Amino acid sequence: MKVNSIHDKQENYAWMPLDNAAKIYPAVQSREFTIVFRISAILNDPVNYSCLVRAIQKAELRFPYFKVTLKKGFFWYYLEHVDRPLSLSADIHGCCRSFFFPRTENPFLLRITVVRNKLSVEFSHILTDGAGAMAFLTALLAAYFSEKSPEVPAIPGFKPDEPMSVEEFEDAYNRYFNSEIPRVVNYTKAFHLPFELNRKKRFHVLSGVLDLCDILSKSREKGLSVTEYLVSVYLFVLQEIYHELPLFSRHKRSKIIRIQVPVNLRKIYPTRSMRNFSLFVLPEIDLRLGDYTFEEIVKIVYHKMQLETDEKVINKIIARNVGSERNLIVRGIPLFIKNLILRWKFYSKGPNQYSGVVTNLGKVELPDEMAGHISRLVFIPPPPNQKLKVNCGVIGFQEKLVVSFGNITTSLDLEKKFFRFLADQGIHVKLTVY
Amino acid sequence: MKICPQCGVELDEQMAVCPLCKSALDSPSSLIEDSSSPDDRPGRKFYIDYFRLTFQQKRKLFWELSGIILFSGILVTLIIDFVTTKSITWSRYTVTVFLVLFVNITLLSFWRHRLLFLLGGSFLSTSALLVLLDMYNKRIGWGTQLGIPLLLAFYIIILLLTMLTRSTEHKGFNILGYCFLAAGIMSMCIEVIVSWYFLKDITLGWSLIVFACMVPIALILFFLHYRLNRGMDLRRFFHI
Repeated sequence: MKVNSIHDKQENYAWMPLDNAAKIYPAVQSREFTIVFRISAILNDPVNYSCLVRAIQKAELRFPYFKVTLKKGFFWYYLEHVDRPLSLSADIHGCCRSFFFPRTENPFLLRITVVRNKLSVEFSHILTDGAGAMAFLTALLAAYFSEKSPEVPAIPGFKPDEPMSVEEFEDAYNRYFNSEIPRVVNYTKAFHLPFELNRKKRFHVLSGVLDLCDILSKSREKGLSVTEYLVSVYLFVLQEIYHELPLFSRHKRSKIIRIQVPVNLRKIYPTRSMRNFSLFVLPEIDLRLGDYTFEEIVKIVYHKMQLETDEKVINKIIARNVGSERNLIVRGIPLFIKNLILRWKFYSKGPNQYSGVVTNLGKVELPDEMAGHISRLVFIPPPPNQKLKVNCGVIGFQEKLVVSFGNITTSLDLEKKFFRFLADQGIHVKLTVY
Repeated sequence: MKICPQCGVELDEQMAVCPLCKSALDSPSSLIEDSSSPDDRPGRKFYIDYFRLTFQQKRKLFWELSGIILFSGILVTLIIDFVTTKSITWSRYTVTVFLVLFVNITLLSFWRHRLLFLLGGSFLSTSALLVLLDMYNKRIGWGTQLGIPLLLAFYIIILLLTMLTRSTEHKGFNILGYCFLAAGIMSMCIEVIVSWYFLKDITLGWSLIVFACMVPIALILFFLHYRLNRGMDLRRFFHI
């Protein structure tokens, strides 16, 4: 269904309930655990302010469902359309800052920032996931470059004058929910990094620019995808960190190392939804069974990823998540009580169950006319909470794969070991402070 | 090509100020061909540095300035008092008031978001001021028994009012309504405390009339706010 008229717009996105994945975020977000992620495009030339402002005006016409603010209802939070233009700000206050702590003049759950040749978009996970944000940034870049030189083509499906589809702001979890499916079992507690937390303001980012050809050939050599290869390295490095701990510290920690790997469900279920639509796979190694060689980890990760991205298993996870949301008792609990329960649930079941997160947005393809103006793309994952301590985001563009670590600790041990391992494998790594 | 020296963004030739960081770009130094730094000009450094300060840094700057002014005031009054009377007499009052003022500015500067800490600290410091004034001048005498209870009632009402305001999503006439109700309740507290201090009995007279006047005003304001607020769509507010 296409949406054309003003009336249609008012009917369809004047307000929207949060999607299933987003429902927990308003309850758990804080000044530090902001659930805000960023994608930056590092251009070859300084950004032209006037062209960018005109590009934003075009992009916001195409993505009106992103022009929303978070509101509190009696039972649930919801998103309400804000009829104000998106603003552009200078990128001088650090990345992935909260939209709510403190509340600023920007009512939206997205932020567009610019400094020199770096154009960034930041989204709250309440609004969308990496794929939705990437679609917005791509359309914005297309509009920007077409402002600079008219021969740049618009992105198919996201042309500024193209009518949008209602499907773009649907909660796709609900569409693919099947109530007859049994729920998944819970996971046990996982190992967490032992590093000391940084003083506030804690969050800092270190990025490594990898040669995409190197890493692709290395992954193929092992019969893996890039994500599977990087997750294997991450697990291997965490195992090393575990073994470097003093005996007592090792003894009191969980011996299960588990990584959360978000999976873009749009690749499994057809939908044009621009809201959250991803789930997680949790490859793990159990150190109670002994030490693992890299080859053994590779085998585990490969099979676990293949098994858990199967449509039937994904159905089970959707059934658990959406099923709880549809429960009448859960729905009837007033929001302020629901918030307390969600927070408790999140910290007992969420980050407790995994040791780290590796999010790969994949390789981004852009028309040559645009790609020639962009040096690289960088994806900064949301700041980790105090249990996880480090998050990892990956994005590929042209010949470069950028791996970024968002860290809130005083240690760079994980990053050092991770990049050293890749370098030892013959992969060219260039470190950059974001 | 005109480049903002702070943001590094390319700007149109006719732009005199960077719309992002508000840096002035009228000098030829903002042209990319010119390699000399605009920061070298006198006065320019402070201007740019001030805009680059975070909100916290600006608050700290305000606190430091207040400290300098208040402590200079303390020093000056102490010296004048000592020179003219050869002892510390009247300057005790100014010193105490300035110190309490400084404590309150410190609380506001650094614990603005910690409401209980801010109001608690402010209440304790102002109570200490009343006690000290009582000690300095035995003829005052009402600080502890009358002043502190009144102060406590005031701070509790302010605390509740602030909490209510913060938790209210749609702010407008409803906040004014809360203020009118708070004023009504405060007047009742005043009458109770004053009558207890003077008569050792609790009587409510004039404050009830004040409260009765405040309630309908508050109700009208609430009606105006919630009836006219188009954001209050019941369907979205109560969606389950």
